[in-house]
Amino acid sequence: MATIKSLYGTNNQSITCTITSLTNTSQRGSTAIDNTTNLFLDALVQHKIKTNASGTAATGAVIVYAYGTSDGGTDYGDGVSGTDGAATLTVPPNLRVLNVINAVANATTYVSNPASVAALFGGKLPDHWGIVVENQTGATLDASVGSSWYQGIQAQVV
Amino acid sequence: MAVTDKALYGTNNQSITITLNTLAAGNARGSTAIDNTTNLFLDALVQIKITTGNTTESGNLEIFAYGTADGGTDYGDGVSGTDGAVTLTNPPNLRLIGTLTLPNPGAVNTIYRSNPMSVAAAFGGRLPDHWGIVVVNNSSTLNGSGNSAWYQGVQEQVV
Repeated sequence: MATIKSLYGTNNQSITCTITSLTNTSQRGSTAIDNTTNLFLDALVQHKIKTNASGTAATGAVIVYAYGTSDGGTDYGDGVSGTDGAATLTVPPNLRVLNVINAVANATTYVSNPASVAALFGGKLPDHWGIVVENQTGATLDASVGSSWYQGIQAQVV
Repeated sequence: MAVTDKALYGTNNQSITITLNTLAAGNARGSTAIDNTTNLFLDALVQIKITTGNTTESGNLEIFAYGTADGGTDYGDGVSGTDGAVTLTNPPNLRLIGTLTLPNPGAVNTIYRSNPMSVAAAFGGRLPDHWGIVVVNNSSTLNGSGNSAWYQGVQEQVV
């Protein structure tokens, strides 16, 4: 009898997105991840951020969106460039929210739960995808602690 | 020996025949149906790109998916299956697969792109053997050029 099981890719795969020193209300898009070799069915994404020593709002948060393409990368959702850099999303954004990290105290490191990228695309991971991080904490993020990473997922028949 | 289930992507940037240029405010346009009986994709990720016209009006475009379970005799909400104007029931008898929001205030002659949108998600995870999209313009008249829709099919492979 065959059983379908999960098959996890290498964990802690870095997402290139410079969120250290990201100023309040600013958005940063990541470099797109090319899934045409690994062919993951999904990617679980996590983030670590650290708030400023002062000025963090009691209702502060970091909002993470996911973007993708279905034309090989000529057009990414909401005009995101696909390379690590500042982003300006439409208001309201034409991307779906991947994660919200509540960040409500000064000088504190927060780690998000893993979040599924494919879930934002009806269960199918685009062949090139990335994230956009928006700082709504009330102050500039820490200059040294701030990163995003993922673990790809496939299925196996054993 | 274990085998692995992986994604398998079809050719990207497959054009969807739908005339969105100069689509007037309040109007809906249906695409020509896409025949999936050869490729047999499990899903299709659809994107649209629009260019605003000369009026700075905000709003959005709604993208619905239509399909059939009788080979194309009857498409959802009476859509014809060929590129043309559509009058949907109010509220529509189609499911929304995505919304492309324009900022307020809007900008003239500006390009806006949607994220990929799953068609199968509108049908409980199953892509109909013939499917298409309807785009409803809830903004101002679109530009005379720079408006298009395309998709990439997705399957799975066991290796």
